Order: sequence, then structure tokens, then C-alpha cells
Amino acid sequence: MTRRLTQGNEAVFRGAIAAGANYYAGYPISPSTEILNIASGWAAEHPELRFLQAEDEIASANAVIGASLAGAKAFTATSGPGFTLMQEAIGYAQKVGVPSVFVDVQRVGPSTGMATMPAQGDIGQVKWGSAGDYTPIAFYPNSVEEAFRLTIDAFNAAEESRSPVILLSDTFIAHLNEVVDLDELVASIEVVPRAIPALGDFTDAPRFFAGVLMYEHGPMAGEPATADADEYLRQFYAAKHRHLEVAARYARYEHGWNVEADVLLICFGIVSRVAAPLRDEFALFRPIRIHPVLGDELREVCARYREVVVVEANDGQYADMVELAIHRQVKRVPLLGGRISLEAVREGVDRVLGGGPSEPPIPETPHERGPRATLGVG
Amino acid sequence: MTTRIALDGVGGQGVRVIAGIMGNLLARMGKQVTILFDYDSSVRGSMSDAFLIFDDEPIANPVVEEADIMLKLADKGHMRIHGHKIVADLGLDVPGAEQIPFASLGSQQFGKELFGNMIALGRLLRLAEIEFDETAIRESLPRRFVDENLAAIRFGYDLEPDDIARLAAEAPPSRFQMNAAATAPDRRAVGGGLDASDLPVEVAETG
Repeated sequence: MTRRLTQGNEAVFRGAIAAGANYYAGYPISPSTEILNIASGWAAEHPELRFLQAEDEIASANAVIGASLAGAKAFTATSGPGFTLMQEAIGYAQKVGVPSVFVDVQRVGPSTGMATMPAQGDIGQVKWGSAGDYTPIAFYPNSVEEAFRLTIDAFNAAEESRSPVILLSDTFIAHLNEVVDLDELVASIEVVPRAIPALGDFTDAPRFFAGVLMYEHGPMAGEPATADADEYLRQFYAAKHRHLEVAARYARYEHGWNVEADVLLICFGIVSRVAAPLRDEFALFRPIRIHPVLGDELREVCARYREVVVVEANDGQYADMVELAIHRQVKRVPLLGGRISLEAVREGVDRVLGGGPSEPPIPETPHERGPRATLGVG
Repeated sequence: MTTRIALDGVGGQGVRVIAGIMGNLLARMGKQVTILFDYDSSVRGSMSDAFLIFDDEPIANPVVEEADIMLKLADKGHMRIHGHKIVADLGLDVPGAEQIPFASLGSQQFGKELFGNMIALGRLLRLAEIEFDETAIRESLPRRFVDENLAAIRFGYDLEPDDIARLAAEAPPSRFQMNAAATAPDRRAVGGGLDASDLPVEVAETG
């Protein structure tokens, strides 16, 4: 038994190892860097883990894809700006069907933004970050133990769906230390092994690695299908149905707090922890599988409440998706600039339930130098 | 019972070390613990905070906005956190705070300012009503300077209110007091020009 303080980022790494990961490539970026650091140290002592610090996130993502095609269980970790650079590679991995895990530890953007401050601004980027249509699977934990468990789920879902699965996190979940016994948890997990042949195995089942559309079955297998809508439909829906079927096995969410209340708060990741002191006043819906959006579950749960308030550390990205899913307007509380505090949640919820706007009051520019009020929860 | 502690300093002072040692100690004692680190982009010399909560029950919200105990080692951190019991290094302008000259005590008693952070840890353990278990503390410490750190923690733990008042009165001016004096408006305005004494004194790192 090794019950000890463990950091969220460390739990992600340990989860990956427990899931059988044997390849890591990455480029350091706050607040994900500990995952790279731990991977580097681990690889030095465990040669079964191959480690590459690449020159940037584009190279990292493509190295992960290459390693996966060669048979490895591969992953990388980054933050919003790095995740943006990885989008082209992620689109390719979606097209070709590359089991892999991408960890996105969100911070305040756009661009470099506020590099060490927490945010949830990549909910949309996960869904729509690369070109064309695809059906990504993404999870988002709200504790150190769940970070461990969901990393394993992400690897398993990646194998089952043959796709890049995204594990979302945020600065605060990444840097949260909690007392857990990961060794005990390892004993109860199930790991999905690699099921498709590796490039180089030269089996009878052909695999195709081009980003362009090619016939994969039948008499024209291996020839370009770049003007054949029928072949596009076959491949697109085969992938979509496979991803949805796998996602259905991971329809994870939490519905709780005061379920008899007449207002439902929807929040996830660190926000669901910070808002927890409101548990007597409100009901909670916490999506754990962020993508595909939990449409049936949201419709069923939201129908029981007079008001639905989405509290998230972005300007309404998940709220938009909830409205599309439940065909009903929700109230929005955006927590921006890293200010993820109970005070901000309470002020925002009171404001919108009182008929006020989603936008918080905007502070005036100070006239003199003084203490900065925008740091962290400040 | 939930105890919420906020530590506020700048990078290099050992805020993370204090929180880490205390958290490990509490975890060893079988407590539920959360520690959340929060810091600005340029780590050394800018805001570095830690929130530590311990309880017998699982902890929901790891962010501390109302601290039972707040330790302030610098003045660049959160402006909106409230502390019921505040302990500050000497010369920090924190209303109602107990002032202890951590940096100068570290230097005088243990030869390095940095040991001030272990004195502060000792004071925190005392205020949080955590029993001084030498074996458990020893096991929670980093491997270097174990005896020196332990002695500094003991020193901080054993401080009584009378000691604190006396030490604060006897201590040399802290950097915060010198900083405030150097940047006071009446000094800045002299002659309309600048000399070295008009330049704001940066908060030096203790690391």
C-alpha cells in the first residue's frame, strides 16, 4: 500500500503506464510539463518506455502517430497553444485511424495568454480543431484519482475506436495534489491490448496510411478514391459509428448534489470541485465524457429542472453544445482570466438567476501601479 | 474538521516546499489532504502560492478563499484571500497579522535566511494544532539538511506569543520595511531627479 500525495499530472502519467503506454513524445509547456519531466525520468529507469523530447508540438504529435502505427501505445501531453499546433496531426490520426492519447492541460488563451492560469477554453478546439468532420472522444477528470482512471479509459477507448482520444485537464487539476493509492487502483483496472497489426507486421489485412482518401476494400483497394463520394461515405460512417459505439461504453457523468433542487448546475473539471460547497442549493450534472456530447443524458437530466446554468472557465463553449443537445436555452456563467473561485461562481450564478447578464462587471483600468488583481483566484 | 491554509510568497522562498512537507506529514498521519499550487509565469521573484487543506473527510473544493491560517512571506500574491489567523514576515503590511522575522531568524539562528521557511512551517504546525512528531516530520523532509531543517521547524513550533513579540522588536529592519522606506512618496519627490535611493528596491530572493 502506497497511500501518498500525488499530483494530477503524475496521476495521468501513471495511468498511461498502467494502460501499457510504451512511447511518449512531447515538448514542454506549462501546465503540462510535469508529465514530460516524469516521462523522461521514468524512461531512464524503464527502457520499455521510449521517450522523445521533440523540437516542437508538431513533431511530438507526428512522432506519437508514427510510434502508434509501428505498434506502440503512444501519448503526448501539451496545453492549448501546443494542442493547436497538433491539430493537423490529430486530423491525420482521425483520418487514418491511429490509436493514441493526447493530453491537453488547459490554460488561459488564446495564444500564450496566461500561461500558468487555469481555464477550460479548449472544449471547442477538441471537437472542431482540425479540418473536416470527425468524431473525437474526450474525457475530463475532476480529481487526481479520476485523472488516473480516465487516462486508462482514454488508452482503452483509443484502442477500441482506433482513434486519437483526448484527455482534458486544467492547470488546477494538473497541479492538484491529493492522497491516493495508485498501486491499489492498478489492481482493479482492465487494459485493452493493441488489436490492429503494426506497420511492418506484413499481415494479410492491409492498412492504409495516406491522408488522402483511398479505397480500402474491394477490387480497387490501394487506389486513390479522391473523387468518389460513395467511398467517402463508407469510410466516414464506419469511423463515426465505431467511435460512437465505443463512446457509448464510456458514457460517464455524475448527476448529484441536491437532485430535488429546481436549478441544475452543469460544470466539469476543476470548476465542479470549486462549486461543490453549493451542493445543498443546486443539483449538479458533471459530464466526464466531454465528447461526444452526452446528448441523451443531458436531455433526460435537464428536463427535470426549471433552470439550467452552465458554469465553465470559458465563454460558453460547452453551454453552446448543451443548448444544441437539449433544444433549450441555458444560463451561462463564464469564469475567465483564471478566476476560478467559489466567490466568482456564486456571484455569477446569483447574477444570471436574478435575470442579469452572463458578462460579469468589467473592472476599470487602474490609474496607478498597484497590486495586480488578476492572479489565480484573486 | 476542515483546516484551510493559504501560503503566499514569491518563487524561491520555498512556499511549495513548506506545503509539500506539511502535506506529506498530514498524509502520513492518515489525513485527507489537498495541496494546490498557483504561480505566475515568471516563477522566481513573482507570485507563488499554495493552498493546503486537511480533513478527516474527503475534500471537495481545493481552492482556499477563506483561510483558517494564512502565511504571508511576500506581498505579490492574492489580494482576495481572507485569513482568520495571519502570520506574516516582519514588515509586511498585513492588518492584524502576527509578525515574525522569519528571514532574519533563519539567518541568525541557522546561518541562512532560507531556514526562515522551516521556522514558518513550525509555526504553521503549531497553529494548526498538529502534534510535533519528530519521526514523522523527519520522514517527510527532503533528504538534504534534515537535522538543520528539523531544528528550524522545532524553533518555530516552540515560539510562544511573548517570544514572538520580543523577536519582532529586536529584529533588524526587514527588506519589506526597507523597501517601503525607499519607495515612500516623500523620498521619491526630492529635487525632481533620481538617485539610487529613489529606485524601488526589488524584493530579494531568499533561495
